[in-house]
Formats: sequence, structure tokens, C-alpha cells
Amino acid sequence: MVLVRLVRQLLALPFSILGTVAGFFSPALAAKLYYAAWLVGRAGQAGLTALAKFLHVEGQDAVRLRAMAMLTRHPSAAIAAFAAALASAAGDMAEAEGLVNLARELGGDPEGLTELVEHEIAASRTPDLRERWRLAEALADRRDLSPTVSKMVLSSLMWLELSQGAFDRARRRAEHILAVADDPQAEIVLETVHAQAGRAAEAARCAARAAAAPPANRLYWRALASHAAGLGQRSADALAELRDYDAALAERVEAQLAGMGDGR
Amino acid sequence: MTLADALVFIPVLIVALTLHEFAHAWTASLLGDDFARRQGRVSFWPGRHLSLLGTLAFFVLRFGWGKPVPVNLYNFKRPKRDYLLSSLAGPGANLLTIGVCFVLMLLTRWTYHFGPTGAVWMGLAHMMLRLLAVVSAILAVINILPVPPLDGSKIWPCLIPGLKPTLKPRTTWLFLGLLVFMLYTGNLAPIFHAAVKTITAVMPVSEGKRVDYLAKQARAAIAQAEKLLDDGHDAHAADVRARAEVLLSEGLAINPHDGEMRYLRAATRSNLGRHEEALGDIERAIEIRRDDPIYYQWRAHILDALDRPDEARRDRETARALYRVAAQDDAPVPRPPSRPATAPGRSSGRSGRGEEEHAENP
Repeated sequence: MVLVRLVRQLLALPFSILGTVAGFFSPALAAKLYYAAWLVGRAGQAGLTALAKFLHVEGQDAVRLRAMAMLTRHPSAAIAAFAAALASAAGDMAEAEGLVNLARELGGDPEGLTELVEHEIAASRTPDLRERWRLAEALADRRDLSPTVSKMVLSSLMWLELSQGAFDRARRRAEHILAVADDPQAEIVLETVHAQAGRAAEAARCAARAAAAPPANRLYWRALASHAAGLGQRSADALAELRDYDAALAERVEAQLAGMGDGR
Repeated sequence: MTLADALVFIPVLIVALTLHEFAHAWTASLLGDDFARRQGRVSFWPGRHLSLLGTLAFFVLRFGWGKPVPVNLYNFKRPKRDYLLSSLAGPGANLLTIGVCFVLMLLTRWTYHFGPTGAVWMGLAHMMLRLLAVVSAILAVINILPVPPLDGSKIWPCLIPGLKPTLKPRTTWLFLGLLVFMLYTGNLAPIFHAAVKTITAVMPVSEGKRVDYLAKQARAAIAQAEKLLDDGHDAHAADVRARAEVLLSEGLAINPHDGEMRYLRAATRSNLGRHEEALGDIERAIEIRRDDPIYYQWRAHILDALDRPDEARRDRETARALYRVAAQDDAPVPRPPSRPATAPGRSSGRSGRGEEEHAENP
């Protein structure tokens, strides 16, 4: 059995190498090559990489269908967890829960996606922001999640802290995220916290560092963060500027902000 | 690399690699990041740390690599400091391995203190430890090079203020290609040679290794004396022989049971005119090895010099009989030296004995 697996992995190796090379110039080709590597080697990790690559070239729904098909062909915890994450992102919590259970049955996923989806399922069942905050903190306390999952959890926690008025905690969270890697979203939150505290120079420095992000994204985050921090005028300015770049997004943000109320 | 080399080298490489990768994972876990633990990397089982591609590369390119330990920097309290520590842990583990190897090498260097079987095992253990120390030194050195994806590339961004400890994957692959090219073309060889030279210069030497070294030096001195004699520099040749005798005496002080060195010292002492001492040595050599005709021939020569012709004749007869037995066994027939009085160096090695023929009365 071990020998068969080894032979399969050996045969899959060229596809993985070519997939890595192709990733530099063609995500679509890279996705197909990783998919071929998964077909030959049946390693869940290769399937996961293929799905992540497909996500760049296909719609989320198409990738979700693909993940389900892959699960039927060669079930693996990593793919089940990824499919669960996609289902959760699509708001289909029932299916996400089923897939999380399947991932657990198959032996746990190496990345920690199951924990993330479980958290999202639990969070979706409570409208109380404080309870969501508590759940997110509990997940953030876990030390065995992958960097991608950790980053998502920390970001989500940072936004919750900002919206709950825990500015100092939001600032520390953003600083922690930024201590690892550049992150315009964290820069915008940090900028907002500084602006809220009247530290204009620090806020300007954060804004300058966040300038590398696409303007629409930057303005979207600034509008949301400022609204959450109770900086209504700043949020309105960002929203007005966003209209120049992406009117449709600006409309969605406006609706979102209206749903959130008057901020702090 | 021969099969025998590979059988010794590969387990040592696997041990060094496993300790290196384990140290990364364990340190990360100690500092609060259990992502590597989740992936089963806090383990001494080599299978967890070997990369399929890296292992294949070893057989094709003559160098390989282990599976990189995944680290989640978000789990660290102080990402830069903790990432620095977990990155240093790999080369640090290699340095620690070298230290442990040195201590064990100090314990296993007494090659000849545990009898002939013990000497074989002690010699083998010492050799494996020596190789492990050398491989660990190479791993430590290569990994501190500031080239992605090596540990060194993770260390310097953690030390420079304002830099983030992460690099873009595209850059990593570019550097990886460059690194493979440099390894393949041997551009990094001087660095490895320097590491190996440094480590071997300070590592404990076993008795066996010391004896080998002394025997080699003594043979070289004997050969040099031969040449000097041929060129007519008799006085200088005597000095060189005296040096050879000192080297052989040092070797025999470590391992008095080395028949070959006894024989060489007997020949050297005889050539220096110290026949009584030479006789003692050659008799001990014969005690150690009774089937070597050349030992008897040398004793005959020494006995002649001591004016004991009857005993010398008996030794020559014994030597002749032993040559005949060797011939009947279809073994290559060793031939007696033509000039035992002047040339132990020529007859010191097994091949050297073939140069001289049927000169029973030097």
C-alpha cells in the first residue's frame, strides 16, 4: 500500500513541479496541472492547491461544484474542509456543517479550515456581536491553524474589536498583523484608530503605507472602518471618493453601512 | 559515490536533516506556534521531514533537501524575534549535533582499548560520528546563507528594523533556482570545503586515525630516505629515517599490536644500525603475524647483522616455505626485498613487495 502510494506520488511529482512553474505565468494552466497531480497522486494537499488555483480563474460556485466532484472521486479531509469553507462563504451553513463533519471523519484537515468553518457556522447562528467576538477570540486562541486561516481570524477579530469600540485592542491586533506582513486592511484599521484618537501624523503614515492597495479596496475599508469607529464624516468622504472609482461597490457599501446603523 | 559510501552517508544525512527540521518545528511550538505540530513535524521520525523531490534530487544532483517546516508567524507573540529564533534553531541544532558528536568522539577515540572486536566497533562509531559532524557542519553553513528558501534568508529580515519577516513566493522560487544552479555547478564548494576543513581541524582524533596518520607519515619518510640514499645523501637519509622511527614509535605507543608498524620500525632500526632493538620489534611482529614470509626474511637479515647465522638460515627456510605455500594457494606470490638493509619503505606496502625478486642473501 505504501509502495503504491509512493509510486503514485512519484508519478504526480512532474505535474506538481510544472504546476509551480506554470503558476508564474498562467494560473489556469497551473490549476489544471495541480489537478492532474491530484488525479495521479491522490494527495489531498495537491487537490487543495488545485482548488485554490481554480478559485483565481473560475467563479466560487464553479469551484464549489468542482470540489464536490473531487470529493466524490477521492475523498480527503483537506478537500472536504475547503468545500466546507466555500459552502460557508456562500451562506450554505447546512452543507458547510455536513462537510465539516465529513472532514473530521476523514481524519482532520492539515490547515485548520474546519475550525474556521465551525466558527463561521456558530457565528452565523448568533446575531449578537459580542457573542461573535467571543467566538472569534476563542478561535484566535488556537495555535495550530495555518497562516491563511489565522490571518482571516485575526482580521475578523480586528474588525469586531473596532466595531465594538475596543480601539486599543483593534490597534494591537492590527499592529500584530502588520508585524508579520504588509496588509493594507490592517493599515486602514490602524489609520482609523489613530484618526479616532486624534493622532493625525500616525494616521497619515498608515494611509501612506496603505496606498499600495487598489484605491477602491482602500476606500471601501476606510468607509467601513470610519463608520465602525464613529467617524461619520470620514466615512462619508471615503464613500464619496469610492463612487469615482467603483459606483456599484459604493452603492453596496452604502447599503451595508445603512444596515449597520449610525456606527458608534 | 559508491554503494558503500551511500550506505554510510545516507543514514547520516537523514539523521542530520531530521534533527535540523525537528529543531525548527519544536522551537516554533515552544514559542507558541503549533501549526508544525498539527502537521506532525514535531517528530524524530525521518519520514515526516523528508521531501520526495529533495530525496530524488539527492540521487540525481548529489544534493537534496528536507521538507520545509511550515511556520505560522501570526501565532508568535513577537513575530520577528520568534521567527528569528525558530529559523536559527535548525542551524543551531546542527551545531549542537556537532558538539554532541565531539563529546562522543572523545569517548570513542580509544580505538585499541577494547580488544580487536571493540576496535572495529569503536572505529566504526567514531567514523560515523565524524561524518555526522561534517554533514551537520555543511548543513549549518549552507542554511545560514542569506538565499531564499534557506534559513539565512529568514534571519536577516528579522534583524533589520523596518523589514517584514516574509518574502514573496515568486522571489523565493527565483532564488531557489539560483541556489540549485550554484550547487550543481559547484560554485558553493569552496564554502563547504572551508566548513569541512575547519570542523575536521578541531574535531577529536581517534587512536586509529592517529595511528593511520603516523604510519602514513612514516612511510613517506622512509620513501624519502630511500630517494636520498639513491641520490647519495646518506647523512640526510639517516636523519629522515630517525624521524620515521620516532613516528613509528609514537604509533606503536598507541597500538603496540600493529604488526605492520612493528615490522616497519624493525626495518628502520636495522637500517639505522640498531639491530638489537630491531630484533625485538621483528620478533613481536612475527608473534602478531606468523604467516608473513617477509618478516622472517627481515629477521634473518637482522640476525646476520648480529652474527647469528644459524638462526638466520632457519628463518630463510621458513620464509621460503611460506612463499611456496602462498604459491600453492594461487595467491599472488610476495617476493623478498632485494635490499632489506636499505629499503624497508619499498617493502612496506603489499604492492611494494612485488618489485623485488629472489634475493635471499642481501
